Amino acid sequence: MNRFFVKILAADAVALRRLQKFDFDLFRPTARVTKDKRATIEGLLTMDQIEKLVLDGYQVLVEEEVSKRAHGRRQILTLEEWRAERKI
Amino acid sequence: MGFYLHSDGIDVVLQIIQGAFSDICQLITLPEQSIEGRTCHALKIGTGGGTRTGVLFTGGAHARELVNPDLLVNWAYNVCTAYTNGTGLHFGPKFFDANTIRVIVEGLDVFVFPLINPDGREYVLNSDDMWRKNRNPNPGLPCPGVDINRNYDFLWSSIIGQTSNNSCSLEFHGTSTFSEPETRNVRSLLDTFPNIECMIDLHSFSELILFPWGDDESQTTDPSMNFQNPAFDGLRGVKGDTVYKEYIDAADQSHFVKVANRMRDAIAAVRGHRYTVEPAVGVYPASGIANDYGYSRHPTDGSKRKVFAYTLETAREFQPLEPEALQVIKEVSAGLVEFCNQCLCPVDILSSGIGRVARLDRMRAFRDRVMLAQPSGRRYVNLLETHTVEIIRLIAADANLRKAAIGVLQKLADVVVPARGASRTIPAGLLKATGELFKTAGRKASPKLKKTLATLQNELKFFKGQTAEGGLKKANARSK
Repeated sequence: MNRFFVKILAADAVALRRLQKFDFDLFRPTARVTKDKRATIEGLLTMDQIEKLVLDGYQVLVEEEVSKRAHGRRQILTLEEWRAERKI
Repeated sequence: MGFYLHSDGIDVVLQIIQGAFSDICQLITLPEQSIEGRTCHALKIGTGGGTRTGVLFTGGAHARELVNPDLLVNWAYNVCTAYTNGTGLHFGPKFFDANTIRVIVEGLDVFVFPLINPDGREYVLNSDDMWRKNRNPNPGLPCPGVDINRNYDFLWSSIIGQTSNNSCSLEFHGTSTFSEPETRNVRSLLDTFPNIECMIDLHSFSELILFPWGDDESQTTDPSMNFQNPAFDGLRGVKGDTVYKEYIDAADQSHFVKVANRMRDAIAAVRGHRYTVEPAVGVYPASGIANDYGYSRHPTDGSKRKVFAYTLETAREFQPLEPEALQVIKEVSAGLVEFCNQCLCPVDILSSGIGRVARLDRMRAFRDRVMLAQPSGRRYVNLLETHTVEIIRLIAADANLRKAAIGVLQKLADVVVPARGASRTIPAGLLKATGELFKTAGRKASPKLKKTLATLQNELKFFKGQTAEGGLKKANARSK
């Protein structure tokens, strides 16, 4: 099932913390309370999960499909390349 | 060309660095293999043994946070290269001169454990780009994997906030504290090298510098309200309430913030990204995390050194593309060098001149229990810490000054940690020698340090005919 990087907007920090009950892939360090006392967090969700959150009253901003930020596998550095860069 | 090394690549690079810089590096084989049978290594950078402060950098606990293991091996390589060549280190516009690098390598034991979770990294690079946990199959449970950064022995059984006892959760905390070889390896480093007093566990992402606590908000007024007190079981982890806040010593909190701010400024000097300094609890509490475990070791067992343990959340995404990843490596590397600077202790540097390790430990205890417990002592410690790097440079550059400092320290140790039956009164000769040391050092110091030394010299009068404790009490009046 495809996943998407999202930003979730909650009415306040309490509503944001209530997200814990879903046990979704939310990125704890990105949680923030904004100046207008709303709260946000980023995460990686399936469409089904996004739908659940929207039905529960959260705003969900879908940013990108997971592969757009999954750069690891496409950027492998070999040991030989590492050595060559440093002439070691 | 790519950017991210495979797990075995990270491990081989550690061995290459050790081989290339064998006079300053030691390869440490961790006691536990990963679940999939990978042997883990750490690198110790430093020119010798003794009682020097240890600094521990760990990375790669969360598999998908790819940049940090590469960052740490590059940092280790660059520091070793700069030391060996007698050059400084440039991170964009931020520059650390050769003396700074020399003092770090010669004055600290720096332990670099770049990849705690090698199985998880391989799984990310081969199968699931966004895997977070280790690869424990969790026999008998529905899902594989344990969140390494929920498995440490800090309120583990409390399952606070974003922590779970469900194996299918991304924050599954394991079947017991230290159930995972990955966390046991980190614990082993802290146990085997009890001189480690500074620690950073690198994660991604969000550009944050986090310090304890992560289980709840902090408070500095009620020592009984702490993680060890069972009366508060079940009450922790509710952010914003007044029922429970985790106790932290005010001086420690201030030290955490001061060091973090210096690190933040060094990072920002590279390209302007200003990391946020805050307690680890943030908006969401959690239990079983590395920085809380590191810092809690001392209050849990007073025989263990206090570890100022941080979490650094690097970058703005898990797996930045190469040009951005290189920038992240530069800015965070600057932060790590600055962190090492902040961990240096002039007394450690001079320790070869003052005798036994146990005595040094007792002097540290005097600093922590007597000096930091009162205003004048805190002020003296703070004044010296502000100028640590310059003091060390002065000592390193001038053999006579070093000899004089060792002499003063030796006599001071006799007073602060006296032999049985010996007088604790500060002899007039020590005050005179200390005054002369301040005067001599002041001649070669920057204007700021010169002013500090002049202040300290003037306040030596409080200690005339007194014990160290008595002098500090008299000086408290000045502090007020």
